[in-house]
Amino acid sequence: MVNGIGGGGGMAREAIAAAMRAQQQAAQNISGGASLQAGQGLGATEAPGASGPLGGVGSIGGTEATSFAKQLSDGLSQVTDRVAATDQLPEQMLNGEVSDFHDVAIQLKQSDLSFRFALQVRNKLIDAYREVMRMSV
Amino acid sequence: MSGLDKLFSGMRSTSSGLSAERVRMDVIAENIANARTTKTAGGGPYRRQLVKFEPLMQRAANGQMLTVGMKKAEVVEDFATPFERIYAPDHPDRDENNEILMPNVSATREMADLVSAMRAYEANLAAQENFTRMAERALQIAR
Repeated sequence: MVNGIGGGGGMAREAIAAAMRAQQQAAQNISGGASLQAGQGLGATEAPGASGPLGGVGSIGGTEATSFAKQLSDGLSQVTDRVAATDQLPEQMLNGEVSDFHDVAIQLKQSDLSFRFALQVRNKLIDAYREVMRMSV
Repeated sequence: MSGLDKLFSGMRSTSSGLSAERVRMDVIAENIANARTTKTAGGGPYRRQLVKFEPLMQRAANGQMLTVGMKKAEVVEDFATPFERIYAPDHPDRDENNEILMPNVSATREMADLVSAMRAYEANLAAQENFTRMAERALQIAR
């Protein structure tokens, strides 16, 4: 499913990875003990994400944006990895390779959550893109 | 630790807690099952087993050691509780005084341990559920 979204365009890929990056920053801030900063972290990363549909694709090739583009694809591949790992779970469970029930349930939940977070950001970006397309020039 | 792992670090901690409590329950089940085993391969009756736990440490990117859950350290035998000597003249393992050594497993204590293991397991499950609920509620913001 994630592959399908990724194939939908570089923008969706950006969106997903931007979400993951924002989450990482938020997690870092939370672990730092400042829950207020977590909100700032989310807000701050929205800016590059929102500029994605406007100038994102062009600037990805530039040297300044390479690390950003890399992070984007890294984030997406992390979600993909997690979902792919979950795909093998039923087989592993039948083969007796999974020793704990909760491991299966937690892995399912984790891939579900990470996918839904990615999907949600992708939806937001598509919305923004449509808004821009509707602008009269 | 990748970004997603960091995101789910709370879930991973409780997951390790769940695994640990399961190991504890397995060991308690072993004890109860062997409550009347008077002869083992090592000679003597079955000795009650205990699990030792220790925190699971992981080195962070900045070299700092972080606690990321807990793990089973080892299963040890209980040498503090003595074996019970009972009179059993018809038992095949009896000694010259017609007595046998019974395992140092007390059913009452094992049941109490089982209840505490189960409660700890439930506490981990509750933490897990709340973590999931928090993430889902956070997702609602984007809707």
